[in-house]
Amino acid sequence: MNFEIKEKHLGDITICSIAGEININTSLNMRKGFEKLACENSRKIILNLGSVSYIDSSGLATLIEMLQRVKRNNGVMRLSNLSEKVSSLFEITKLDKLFNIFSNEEEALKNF
Amino acid sequence: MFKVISDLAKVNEATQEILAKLKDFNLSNDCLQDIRLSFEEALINAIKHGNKFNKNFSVDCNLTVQGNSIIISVRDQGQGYDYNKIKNPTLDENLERKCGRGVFLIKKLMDNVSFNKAGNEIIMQKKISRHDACRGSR
Repeated sequence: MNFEIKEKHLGDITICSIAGEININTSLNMRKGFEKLACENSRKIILNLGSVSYIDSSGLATLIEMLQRVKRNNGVMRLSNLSEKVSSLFEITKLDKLFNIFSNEEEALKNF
Repeated sequence: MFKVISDLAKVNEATQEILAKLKDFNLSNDCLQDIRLSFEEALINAIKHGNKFNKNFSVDCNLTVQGNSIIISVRDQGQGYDYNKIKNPTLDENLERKCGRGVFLIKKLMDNVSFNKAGNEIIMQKKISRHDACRGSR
């Protein structure tokens, strides 16, 4: 399956770089990866979507689910490095109002 | 026309079949991605909501070219759905909903979208512009 999550930590911030497609077939893998983060009690999370080539509606739904879980845990989740195409899907669906989206990791790290 | 068994594991295979049919049109990656996403959303809806994962039911997929347009239809064997009932997912009160974006995305990404009377078939039209053909051939 064309999907991968790499995780790194900067102090109390967790940066997850996601590569591949977030679709109906890979959403489950993403959810599992996120369960691990939830277990680690990460409260400051940046999802770098720079290497995500494709997102479908179930991928968007998975991201919403992740955001809701982080919020319930009094945490903050930011998105960064969205490609033009992925960014346009957030604009079309108005999910850019729901998520905090930054152009790159450096911007996302500011005031976190 | 080709048939897809009501199994989500078959979606990728069906997508490859659609993309293979579009290979000769030199479409831009943007245009291909719009078509791919729309087709997959329609097929997933047909398998999940139309045929309710019943593997005895199949989904009929068809791609034709009419003038400067690509027409893709996806028809399930379910009872049909009233597409007017779909809530607008971009309203503030619906933003956090985890479902209901598939048809909305299709309508935004394709040029014309219609449904048959029974509500078990979606017909999607994408106009092919000269711009698309040029970008695709680079």
